[in-house]
Amino acid sequence: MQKRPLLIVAAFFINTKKMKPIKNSYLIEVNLGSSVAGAGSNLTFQDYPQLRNIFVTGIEVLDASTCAVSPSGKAVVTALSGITLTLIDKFNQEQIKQYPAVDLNPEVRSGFYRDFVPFQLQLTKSFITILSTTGLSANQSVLLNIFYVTEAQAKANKLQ
Amino acid sequence: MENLGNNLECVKALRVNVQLYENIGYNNKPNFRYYFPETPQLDGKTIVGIKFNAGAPIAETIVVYGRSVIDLPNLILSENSQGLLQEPAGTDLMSGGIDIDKYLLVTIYNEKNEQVLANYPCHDLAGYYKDDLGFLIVDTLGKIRPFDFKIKIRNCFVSSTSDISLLTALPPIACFTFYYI
Repeated sequence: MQKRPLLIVAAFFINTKKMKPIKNSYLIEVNLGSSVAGAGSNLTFQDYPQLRNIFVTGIEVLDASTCAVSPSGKAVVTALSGITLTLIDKFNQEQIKQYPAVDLNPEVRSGFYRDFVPFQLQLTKSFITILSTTGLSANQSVLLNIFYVTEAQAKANKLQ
Repeated sequence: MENLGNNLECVKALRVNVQLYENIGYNNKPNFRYYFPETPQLDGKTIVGIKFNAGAPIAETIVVYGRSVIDLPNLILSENSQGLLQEPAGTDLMSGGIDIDKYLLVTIYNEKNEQVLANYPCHDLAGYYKDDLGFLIVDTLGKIRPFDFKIKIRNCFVSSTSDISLLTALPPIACFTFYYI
């Protein structure tokens, strides 16, 4: 246990030396519903079987300027400034808490995506929070592009 | 981190064109799949970068010959010595302010027939971002998305989330550049 901080520091430097290549990605969406939820509301993600037991390595949150219509045919939100993202790991810990969604949009971040030190995501307990409904409309969707490695890939790379 | 880019270097690059549809209003329903053509050069190769060539050819030239997240000398060697970089398709999907790439998604399979990229937005592969004034520009530093997987090109496809034949009178060609080792 005493070596754990050293390992974390080492992993930090390893991960910041190079941009991590994307092993897998999956586009998911959260629909705002027939009426936009009020400020302070949490909208959880639905279950995506492909994203069970995965280690998330990075996330993009996309607006209509990147993807105008979601795969399910819903219009995509035009503003991300009133939305935050909270990600829960399999130990029910909030690994990413109230992260501003606009900061995860690569189009306004010079084309870069944010990559994280991998952790095992529990998607069905993760959620977005509506801080402000300004610019949001009913039936719009928020798109998230999840970058991940599978459990087998994580074991091969000794992430577990 | 951002300046160093992908930790895998490409040695070759290959452009692959996907014809999205040929007749207006025909076979162009949302989520219709347009498969990549057979490209045996790519099968089983490790893909380290993908670029969607949505911009004008001049923009692509800037990206190819500018600083890049991939290994530039090897890329030039690939183009000049081995001739693997095809001629541009010449179809500018972004011309006239019709941002067709916002309606296109690409799905990529690996050699084990597993989806590695599921509904990846093509716009995100195009290297565009907004400058301080909010204008959409192409990054001259070449932010090509870094990947790491082996591809099975015959299973991969492009899909549209909307009927893009309503947006353009010309049958568009989706042009991708695959950087691989």
